[in-house]
Amino acid sequence: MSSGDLVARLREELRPVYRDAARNAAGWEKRAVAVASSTGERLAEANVGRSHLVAALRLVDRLLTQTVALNMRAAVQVAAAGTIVGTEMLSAYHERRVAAVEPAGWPVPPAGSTVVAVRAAGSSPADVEKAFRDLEPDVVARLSGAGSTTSGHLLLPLAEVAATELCGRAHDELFGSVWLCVSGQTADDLPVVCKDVDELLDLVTSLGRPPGVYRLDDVLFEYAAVSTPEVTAELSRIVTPLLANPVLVETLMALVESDGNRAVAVKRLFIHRSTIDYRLWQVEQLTGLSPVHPRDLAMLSIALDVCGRVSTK
Amino acid sequence: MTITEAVSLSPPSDALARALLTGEGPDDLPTAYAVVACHSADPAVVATLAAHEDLLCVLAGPGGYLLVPCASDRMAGEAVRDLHVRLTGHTWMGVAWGTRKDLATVRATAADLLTLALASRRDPGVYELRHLLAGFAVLRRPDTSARLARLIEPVVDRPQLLEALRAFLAEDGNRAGAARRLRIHRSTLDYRLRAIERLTGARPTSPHGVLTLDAALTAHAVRSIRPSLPVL
Repeated sequence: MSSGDLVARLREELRPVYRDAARNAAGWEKRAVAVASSTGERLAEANVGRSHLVAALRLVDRLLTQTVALNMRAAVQVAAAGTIVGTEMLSAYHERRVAAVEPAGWPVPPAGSTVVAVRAAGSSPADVEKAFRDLEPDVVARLSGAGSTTSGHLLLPLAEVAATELCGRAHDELFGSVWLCVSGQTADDLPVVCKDVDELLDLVTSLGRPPGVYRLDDVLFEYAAVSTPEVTAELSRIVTPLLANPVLVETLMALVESDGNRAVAVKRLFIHRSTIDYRLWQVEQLTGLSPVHPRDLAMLSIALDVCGRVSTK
Repeated sequence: MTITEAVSLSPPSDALARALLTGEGPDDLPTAYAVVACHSADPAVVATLAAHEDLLCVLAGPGGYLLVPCASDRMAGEAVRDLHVRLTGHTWMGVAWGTRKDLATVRATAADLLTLALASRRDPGVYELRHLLAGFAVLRRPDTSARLARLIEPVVDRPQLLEALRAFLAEDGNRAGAARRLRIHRSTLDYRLRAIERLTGARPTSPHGVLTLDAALTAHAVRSIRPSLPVL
């Protein structure tokens, strides 16, 4: 389900609840609990991401509050409705989601642990486990795979930074293409952390990033962008006119790889300085963003990444 | 019926604007609008806007919402910039465009854009989604914005580094310009930028690093800066 669909669906389901609350219609609290928990369960079954749901719920709450809270008394009722809906929906969602994941065999992790999602072609599950066990004897591995491909999770009794560093060393020991994605959360709610880190792994590979070790920070904007419908739509509006012109795309990529330094980029591209200036001027005319400003250049490269690859997946 | 006639026959501009912004309102109005959330400390600006007869507006104190009838997305920024250049005082505007049925969402976007322009200390001007896209994506994701705010905390706690980063961002990543702005030596600035990189892991010399530091500073500032906009 796209974020736009999710917002639209939540808005439809919750509108009567907020309206009843604003009018203080008899029994609205009970109905609010019922609607919220059944919606939460269905969204968990539909495999909607947690952070995705929280963002949508927050937006819908604001929209509906603005629409129905017309006076002070209604505003108080509506705020109460918002609290009921938020807590009930998320707790129903959470229970269903935890129940849906098989937690068998995972030990209770020590506080401050980290989960690593693994995807490998060229290294077997035994190879991956050994590479980690040599560095950290207390690693817990839940890996599966056939032959030399591996997918699954590792639980490391380390905080995010230390775990990332350890993953880097393990990665150096492994053959083939190996992606390792490190979770940020302490692993107290293991199944949920596993799903979040799987989302991160999916994003990293769908963006076409090379094998390596990734944290949320490495794709922070891409992660935020793909889960915010307005942002995804705007990114594709920015990029569409560029995709028709491969020369401009190539120029932008070279400029990004040169850290925005035009003198370096012209050497990579074997073109004259005035040629690059003209091309960058064309980009600005087409997109409204100016690649000579670092922030705009970074945004253009994110837009190309997200829309050029994720949307064509 | 022209727009002006429609407005004069309808309830007062304020009530009509409120209705439109909450997704209600009569059917005989234009089908699409640019919605502006604006802020100006200059009372003359607010008075000029209130007196503008082609505008539907809800104004309160230093800020408010304006509705500019506008047929297409691409013309929205231009239409609002035309309005902005005729105002005399410093004014920040966040602009979003949408059709009648979406105006409640569009209003929320415009308000967020104004918040971001103020929180990231941009110059007075007209800001559309594409100008503040990174900050916007982050603002809509509480988990991401908490992460970024934590990232920048060590810089915010050190006034010299914070000042250096702000100057660097205001000069759009131009180090020579930032050093002049702060009246410090270029190598002093480089030293401070390296300290920022050490504390945050974001490299100020790369475009992505500049974007990250800017978004992080904004995520931090948004916690305390909220423009005063009328409650609808």
